[in-house]
Amino acid sequence: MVKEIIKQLTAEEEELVAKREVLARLEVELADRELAFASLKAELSAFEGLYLRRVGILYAELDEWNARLAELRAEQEGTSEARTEAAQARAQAQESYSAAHGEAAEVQPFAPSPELKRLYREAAKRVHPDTATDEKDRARRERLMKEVNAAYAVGDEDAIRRILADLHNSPDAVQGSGVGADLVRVLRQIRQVRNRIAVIEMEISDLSQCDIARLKAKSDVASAEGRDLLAEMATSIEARVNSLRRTVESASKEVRK
Amino acid sequence: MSSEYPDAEIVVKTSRALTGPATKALTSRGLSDLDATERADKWLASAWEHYLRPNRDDHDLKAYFDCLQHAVAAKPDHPEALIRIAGAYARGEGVVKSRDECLRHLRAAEVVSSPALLCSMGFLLKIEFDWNCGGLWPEGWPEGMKESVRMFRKAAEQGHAQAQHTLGIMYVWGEGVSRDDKLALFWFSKAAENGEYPPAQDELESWRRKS
Repeated sequence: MVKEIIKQLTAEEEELVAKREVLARLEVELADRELAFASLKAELSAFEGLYLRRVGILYAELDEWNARLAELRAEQEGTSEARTEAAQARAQAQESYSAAHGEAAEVQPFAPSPELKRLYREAAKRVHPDTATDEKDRARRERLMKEVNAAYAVGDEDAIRRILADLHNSPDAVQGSGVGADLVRVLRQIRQVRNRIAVIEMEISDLSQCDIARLKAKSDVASAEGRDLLAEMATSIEARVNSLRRTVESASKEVRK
Repeated sequence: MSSEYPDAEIVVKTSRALTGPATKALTSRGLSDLDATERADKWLASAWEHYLRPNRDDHDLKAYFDCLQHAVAAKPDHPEALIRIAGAYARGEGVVKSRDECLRHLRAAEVVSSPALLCSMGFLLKIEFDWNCGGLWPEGWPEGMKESVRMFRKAAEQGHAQAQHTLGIMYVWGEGVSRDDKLALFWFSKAAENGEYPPAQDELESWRRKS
């Protein structure tokens, strides 16, 4: 007769199995939310770039003509007030110019492929800092997660693939020291992941209130109605720029006399 | 969020730092200009509702003018509101007629108008404004036509095809300018070159055939 040995799981072991399942589900949810968050940041960054290129530079031009007008007036009147105003106007013009022509203005449209998203989700599941088991692990994961986020923002699929390939070659450190210790670790991981998911929701909600998000929302509504909001804004500022330029040109003729 | 997860209270504001303060300043200017325009547009819509009432009376006109004032308060450089106010002063709609106020608002509108709006203003001055209205300008207002020409010229210089064409016509008929066939042809050619305004092509053709 064959004696069948039926292994009876202890209550603790059952609990560990159950919690591991919970953690696995949470890790998938976390990867999803991180993807949503990274995508939102990239979209807003891209829209900001577009806004700066089409509208921001016009505000900078407006400030430039304002500065020239103030400088002409300072030349004409020679009072210290006029000179101060001119200096302030010039400073404003310089600030607007750098903002409109800086790095933020160079960000191109963000269009992640399904493959990029898939790679990101997988990487986020594998390297997320909040699934770390100890401090050293966490530090390593934070570094990797930063790389993954950076790669996603610029659409670099290969970089994410490389990170995933490296992971294959260096297995995650797992310290097995009994079911009790494992359970404590899993519970801590669950807590960390739930915490991070809550923080992401708050950050997403925060981000949706910022100025550029509000502008993008208005632009999207306009697009749905067949209107180009940035173009409308540009037209209106251009009119002011042209008018101000003519004022400056005729004022400078006065000064030359 | 229960007391189980106290860390969630600490929200790391990394997301806020999308870009620097100077860029944010440019963004918030755009946003507040938009908000102001939206408020002004709403007032303008209300103004139109009053203006277009079937049995419009003085009460409606007063409400019309009030809404226009609100629009300009919301956005002092809203060209359409300024143009409507100028018209209200010209025709005494909800306000006592005043040539000075009319002109003041037209100048203000001019400064912030796109070429398309300048062209519309040119037509307003040429056709709609009755410069002999109610004895405000008993001798008529020849300068009115000159103002109209000025608007068309401004728009024409910025490449607006219809304005260029209309300016050409005014040179043909000597409206607000002395008759000048050469200048008329010049502006017709410009408008035709532009390619966006078919009547200009026809105009140029018929002129070429004449000469």
